[in-house]
Amino acid sequence: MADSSIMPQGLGIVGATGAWGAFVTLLAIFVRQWVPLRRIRVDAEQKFRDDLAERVTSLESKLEKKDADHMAEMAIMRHRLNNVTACLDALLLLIEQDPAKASEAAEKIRRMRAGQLTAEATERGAVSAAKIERSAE
Amino acid sequence: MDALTALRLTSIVAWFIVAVALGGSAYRAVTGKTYAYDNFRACFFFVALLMLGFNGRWLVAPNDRSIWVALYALSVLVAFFILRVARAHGRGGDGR
Repeated sequence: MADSSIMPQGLGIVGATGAWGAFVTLLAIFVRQWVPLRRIRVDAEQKFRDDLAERVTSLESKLEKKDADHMAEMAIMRHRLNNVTACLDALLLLIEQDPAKASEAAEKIRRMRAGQLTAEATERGAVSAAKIERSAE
Repeated sequence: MDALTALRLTSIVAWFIVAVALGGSAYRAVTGKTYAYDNFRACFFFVALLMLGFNGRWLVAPNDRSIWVALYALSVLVAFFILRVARAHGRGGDGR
């Protein structure tokens, strides 16, 4: 450590004056920046709230789309299940009525299924077209 | 010059560079014409002044209490200014 006795005694006063000068300067900054700093905080909080509201709106929109997609998929699956059930019931009924004509019954059911598959494909195509149209908006 | 004095001088040089680099921001904060994050940099400028003061007083006037008083007062004000600036940027903001 340096010996204070070899240093000019006036440096203590100079140092203290400088420190108090810095104190007054910082006090001036404090006063000068009081309103700007408050404005930064208020603006940032406002932007934060606006961003959140925007995200919520976007999420709601996405949720509605996903809900619509889900309902459409469920409708297609329900139709397919109903068709298959109807075909199975019809096949069983025909075989029960006349087991000897089982192959003829199977042919009838096969034609019935072909019509159903065409209808299912049309329905699936309509749903896909609606999705593409909505995503293009 | 002993090792402690050498280390103290190194610290003074390092913080002096910081003070010089950030002095412009403190000046703009005083004048009110701040660029982005000038208040942040002003905080660091005054921390640098504190470090210069506390290091320098051991070299130039180790027994002078008046520097201690001024530096402690400055440190209190710096603490509150840091709190003020940190609170202003709690939710982001462009720092102006």
